[in-house]
Amino acid sequence: MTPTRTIFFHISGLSQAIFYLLALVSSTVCIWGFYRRYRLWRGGKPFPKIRDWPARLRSLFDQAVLHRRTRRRRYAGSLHVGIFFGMIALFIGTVIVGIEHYGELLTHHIWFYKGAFYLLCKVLLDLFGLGLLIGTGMALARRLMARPRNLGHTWKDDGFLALLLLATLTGFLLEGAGLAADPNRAPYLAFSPIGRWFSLPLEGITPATYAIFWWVHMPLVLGVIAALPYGRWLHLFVIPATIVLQSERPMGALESISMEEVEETGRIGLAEVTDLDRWQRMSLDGCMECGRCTDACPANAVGKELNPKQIVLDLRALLTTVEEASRKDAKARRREALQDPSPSPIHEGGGQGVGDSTDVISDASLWACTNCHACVRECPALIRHVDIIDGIRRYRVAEGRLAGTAATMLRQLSSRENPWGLPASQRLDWAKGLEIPTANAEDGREVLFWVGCAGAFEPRAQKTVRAIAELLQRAGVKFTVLGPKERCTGDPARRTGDEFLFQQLAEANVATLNGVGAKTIITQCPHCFHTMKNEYPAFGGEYTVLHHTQFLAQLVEEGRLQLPSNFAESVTYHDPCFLARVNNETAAPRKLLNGALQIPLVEVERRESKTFCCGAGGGRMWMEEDRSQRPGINRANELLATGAKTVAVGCPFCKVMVGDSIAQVGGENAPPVLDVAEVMVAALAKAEPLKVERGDI
Amino acid sequence: MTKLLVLAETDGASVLPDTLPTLAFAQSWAAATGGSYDLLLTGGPEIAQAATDWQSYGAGHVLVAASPDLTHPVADRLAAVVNAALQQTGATSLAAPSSTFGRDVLPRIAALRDLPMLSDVLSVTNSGNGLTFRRPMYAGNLIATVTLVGNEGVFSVRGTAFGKPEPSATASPIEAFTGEMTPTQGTTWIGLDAPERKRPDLTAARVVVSGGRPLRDAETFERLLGGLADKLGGAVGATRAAVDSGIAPNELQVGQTGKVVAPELYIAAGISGSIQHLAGMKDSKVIVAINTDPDAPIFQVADYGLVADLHQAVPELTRKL
Amino acid sequence: MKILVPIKRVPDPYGRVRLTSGGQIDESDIKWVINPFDEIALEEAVRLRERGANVEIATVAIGPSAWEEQLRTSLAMGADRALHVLDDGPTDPGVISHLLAAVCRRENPDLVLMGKQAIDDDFNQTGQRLAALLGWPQATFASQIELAPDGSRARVTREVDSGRETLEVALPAVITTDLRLNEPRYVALPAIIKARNKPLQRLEASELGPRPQPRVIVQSLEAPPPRKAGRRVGSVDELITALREEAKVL
Repeated sequence: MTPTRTIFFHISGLSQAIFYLLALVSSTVCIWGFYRRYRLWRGGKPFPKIRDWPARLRSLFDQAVLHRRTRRRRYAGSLHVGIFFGMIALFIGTVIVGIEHYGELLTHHIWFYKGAFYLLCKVLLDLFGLGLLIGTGMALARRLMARPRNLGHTWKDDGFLALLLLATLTGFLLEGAGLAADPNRAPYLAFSPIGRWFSLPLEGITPATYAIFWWVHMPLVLGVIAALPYGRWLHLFVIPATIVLQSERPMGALESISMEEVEETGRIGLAEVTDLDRWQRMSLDGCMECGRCTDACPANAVGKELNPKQIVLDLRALLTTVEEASRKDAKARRREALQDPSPSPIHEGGGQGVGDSTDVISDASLWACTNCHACVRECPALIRHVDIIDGIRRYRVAEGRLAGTAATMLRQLSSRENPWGLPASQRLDWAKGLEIPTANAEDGREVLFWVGCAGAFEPRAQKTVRAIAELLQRAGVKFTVLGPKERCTGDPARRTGDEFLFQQLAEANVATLNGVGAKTIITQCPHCFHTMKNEYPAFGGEYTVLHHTQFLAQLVEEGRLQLPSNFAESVTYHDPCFLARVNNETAAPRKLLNGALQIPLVEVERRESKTFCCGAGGGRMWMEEDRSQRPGINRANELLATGAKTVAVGCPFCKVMVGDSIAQVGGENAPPVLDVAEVMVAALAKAEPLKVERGDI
Repeated sequence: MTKLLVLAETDGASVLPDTLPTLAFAQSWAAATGGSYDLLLTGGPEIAQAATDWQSYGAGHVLVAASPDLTHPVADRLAAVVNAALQQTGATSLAAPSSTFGRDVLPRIAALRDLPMLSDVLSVTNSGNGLTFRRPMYAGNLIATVTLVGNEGVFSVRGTAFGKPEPSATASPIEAFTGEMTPTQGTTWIGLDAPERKRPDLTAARVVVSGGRPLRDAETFERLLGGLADKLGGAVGATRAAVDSGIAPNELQVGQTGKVVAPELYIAAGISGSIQHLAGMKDSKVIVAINTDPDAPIFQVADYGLVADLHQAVPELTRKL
Repeated sequence: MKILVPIKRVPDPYGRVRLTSGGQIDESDIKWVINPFDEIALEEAVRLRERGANVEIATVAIGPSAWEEQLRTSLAMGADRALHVLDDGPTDPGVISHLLAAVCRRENPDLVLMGKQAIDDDFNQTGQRLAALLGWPQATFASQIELAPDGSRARVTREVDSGRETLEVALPAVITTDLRLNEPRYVALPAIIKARNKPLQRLEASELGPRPQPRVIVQSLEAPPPRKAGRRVGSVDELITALREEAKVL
């Protein structure tokens, strides 16, 4: 006989009716739970325009199907794959059964759920069900035994997982009971590989007993469905939406705001939680509270108050309270208006005062952030914590709540167009003796070398830019510099929250760059690189921007720069956050160190996009911090542990922070901290003296 | 004949040495105007005994205003006394050191007597058309040549611009102040916190002696740098690295996340010159660097660079000063 | 309680003031700001209010119409209202203190809180002169200010050469600020935009009565000899000689 299954096997009509009733209740509770969160999103600025659908769908596929971010951790990733695909499969299975059932009712014969198709479904459902069972078990085990620090632990968490586990177990039991109670299915036991094990102890049970299993299993499943939107599992619905609807702004590129908008609204930045836009509000609801953001946070790692996960939870809770309150308020007013038609003074919409302020996030937390984006990179829900933090910073700076050395830096930046307040006339001091021409529109250059403020004024960075200049000259690259016409790209201003100072600098720089017809720009510093590449286009500055290691790697590839190999003992490389993580460039420096120079490269564990921040970003270079809470020291210890004879960096901030930290903890025999370009120059100096004509070698 | 009254700076019991350059100014002024000058000492009862030490500086008279109420004079009280002293001596101009003492009370007296005042006078000459003075502006970045309408005025005198006054063979007669010395109602003197062996405040000191990690330990740091600072009457500073290594307290940190200083003389011993440190002292008038590393960035900003080991050079410098 | 904070417009202290070939201040490159010591005074007034005192803060500037920009900034920093006394003439501390005294007789503040000196002329006189003209007590170079709860007195710690002196002055009084009093908050553009609605009153200087003439006349300005390039010295003796004879700092 054709393999098939009797749907609602021995479940009476009354039972079915009760089932439908309970299902209705459960669905309502689920939909209501979702709706209750959804309406919180409506208040904010609408979702950004979507142009690049293919990229979004690709991203959705990557995260929702391939689970790319989730699977960065093996154990957690595997259990998630098991639970996710298990639930999807069982859901599809139920839908199939449902369609079949109504089809059967209409047509009075078995429609499609039979034969090979049926058997295939059976096998797959069993296997996916097993995946679900194992996944849920792994999750509970991790939660109860390993107790990860930042995961968070409430009775709701354990309760839901237990519910899910029971539902799955009873599901298998039900299957086993069904196999045991229905003799028609006996020939096909092999196609229920897991279910059959559950059927063994239940051999010979009656349909009535089967019904009991059904009555146990069904409410549990309905319970799972009902519970979904009421805790972390809401992410199931939300994360796909956040992925599809995300902004096209690259990571680390902040949103602009116009002066007109500020004048009109009288607000800037995230003053109140209701200032979060629609996507941000939705993303908060996608937070699964996994804690990976906090696990990755360098400030948190050295004991500072900053906890990215807590920021998300605090804002989410506050948003809920505020919106619920304003809803009750509106309802009350409507009721009043109905009873008393005379006009009453209009409440100011939104801002209720102290209650909804983003002040829930303390100053200590807010200013501890180095903008390294480790949290943003880790988050499987694609939450952009740094955008939120920098948004609150914008508000607080506008309110005059920034004081101290960072404020001094902003004053100096505002006055002299560089954060150290030094005169622009000194910007070429580093180039003494090198004869580097300054740029103009007709100089026929190949590239414009953007030296940056550190390169111009900071002694260690000056050595780096000299090395870069030397290498460019060796390679025969025709390059020019802006000299005193250069001004800070505005990165410290933007990351600290002084948006308009940033815009002022950006606009002025774009005018200068366009004035000299800039096309290709190479920078020494990843912050200059990131800002000009990702944020200047919004101000009319479209250039090809390269980090110096990228351009040097290109020169090596093209054969224009020949490097001697293997002169140094060993090197370890500290990936700069804004290059490696925010802009995905990890290959070029390695091509130079390991590939071209062939120095044995000893890697640290926290490398490439997992790199650990030196602590200087987000304006923190200019903020004081307690000796015991320095990310730089944490990183220095890691770098020293490699035993490498040289530490290579690619950023002037890293060079200072890592350099100082290594000098602090490394003692007498601490390895030197050099930029990749300096390592290259040292190698060349040891090998052949400079040949003037290229192609001579 | 025109007369200038010199208000001596006292601590209530004795006259402070910065009165000397003011007397030198008075002598220049007298030479330029052909006038004379008197000296006024104010303070508690002990100040009367000090008067005899100040008779040999060519003052026409040494006027003594001694009263318990003047031991800690507050500006309004002292201004009233000086105002009366001007009348008693017939002086139409007034000078005092440009210390916090002078700067506090002189302008008040200038307003009481409706006189113009020049702060931080560097020189006085007779241009043929009246008196010409020089004084600093824009934190010393510019020197202004100024004149007064009427040639009578109140002057606070910058001590480093004038040397010692010429001694005079004739002894100045001592006179008692005959005016009122009653306390005013408006201001009450509560107290003075003047630590014993106090170094000047880092941000206000004229000289700062600063050191880095090469000083090795707190004892050496204090001994070498403190010794030199005390010899020069200056303050002690430190780099971030020194503070982090525990060899200097946090309050001494000079730099972009510490204190910003702009003294006349900044001596940097064992400091490499990172930008964070430079940001805190780049506006110093004269920078001296002592470092064993001839390539240290500090030498790029130093006016005088000595490539030497600070452990020898600093004690030698202290000894020879 | 009403606090009056006089402010002056000066060139940005981070910039270097240059002279034109004619020996005048080169104003073409100057960025104008509120005198930093006055900012400290205003910051202190705002903090007094934030600490709970019932305070109305008014700023006043005496100068040409361009100075309105700085009054706007002062409103952005937290002043409640601003008064602009329009005056184009040459001034000196005698003139300003006279005009300020007239303003005080109109406004009747309980406290005048101002910078100890302006960073352009560095006179350090106006506050003291004002106190004398009004017959009020003065406390200069304040590094700490505490108001009595009943608003009748202020306890002020002053930075003096020998240490720190504490005085108590009966209000109304004039207090001038030292650098160590506080660190003013940073004012970004949005705050200035928000403060546009705060009241700014304009007054001609002549409305305050006859205006005296300045009696300090600047005849000429010169830059001190330029900093010579640094040089190496060979020994401690050479260093001492150089510091004594050349640099003249010893």
